[in-house]
Amino acid sequence: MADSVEVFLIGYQDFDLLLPAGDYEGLLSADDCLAAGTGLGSLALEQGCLPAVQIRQRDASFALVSLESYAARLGSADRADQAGCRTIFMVDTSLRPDLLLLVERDFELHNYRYADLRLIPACLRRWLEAVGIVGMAFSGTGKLQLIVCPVQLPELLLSWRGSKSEVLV
Amino acid sequence: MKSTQFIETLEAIEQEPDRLEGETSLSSRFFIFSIGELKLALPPEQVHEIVCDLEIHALPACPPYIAGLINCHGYPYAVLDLHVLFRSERHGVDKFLVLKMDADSVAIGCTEVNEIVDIPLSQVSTFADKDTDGRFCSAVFEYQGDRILVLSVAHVLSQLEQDLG
Repeated sequence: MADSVEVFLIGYQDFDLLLPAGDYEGLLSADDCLAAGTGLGSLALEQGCLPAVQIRQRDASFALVSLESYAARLGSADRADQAGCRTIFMVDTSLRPDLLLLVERDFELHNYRYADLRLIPACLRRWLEAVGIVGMAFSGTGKLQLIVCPVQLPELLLSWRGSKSEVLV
Repeated sequence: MKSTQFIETLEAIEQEPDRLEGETSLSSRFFIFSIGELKLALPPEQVHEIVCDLEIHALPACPPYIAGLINCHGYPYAVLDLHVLFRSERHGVDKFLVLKMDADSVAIGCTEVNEIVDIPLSQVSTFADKDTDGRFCSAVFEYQGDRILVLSVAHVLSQLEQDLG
């Protein structure tokens, strides 16, 4: 098993989202979306949220498992595109919540050692896993980073919006 | 003395009041801390560390008495806001009692770490079943004119489980 995992890091005001890269087929810019004629690119441009991140989810079947098995799965050499189902999330939930992840800031691909990832404190595990948070880390500057299960990302963002709407603008 | 032993001792004394005769020095130590005007106590051995001035990272989808997380030596600790539980309102904190727990990472936010005191067990009482303060506490005692509640962390965590449903 690899000792590290690639994650897409998307920074917000109060926290970072870590999306394990093995879950995603790739990222497209708003221009790419426009070129592909998906209609998502124009949506992103209208919202002024560049880049648009189009996420193709590889496999939804392991989305609700624990961090350990989740990490183990991502660490395996098998990166075959199994499901081919396309799921695209949208952060701005005033728009269609199942379409597009719109981020204001740039996203980056990072390599995280498993030794630097943290389990959720036991007393909160069921609470946070219910909204798709499967683990966490702290950045070098101490910022909280949440490892998020892709299938539940919209629910997490909706839930967060209910309590801290400013983080989603 | 752990809280479970402490409760067992108190219960034994209630059942056998004569037991205290000749054992007047029987006492228990308590770590007293404050959150605003609210004073609480814990058995000192439940407190692993006191840390100050850490940022509380807010979390989604948690009940209001979970203030968030602190980063203590690179590890996340759930922070309990006991003022919400006891007074139904938030209170700013700048100190954290990191608890000694085998299978969990929990800290309590507070404003003051007061002192460690020895209290004769004869002055410590348990709660009546209907006493609302007893929901999250195992005992209560008077100290220097203050009513100090002895917190039961297990009761608070049990409430967290119940609230999840």
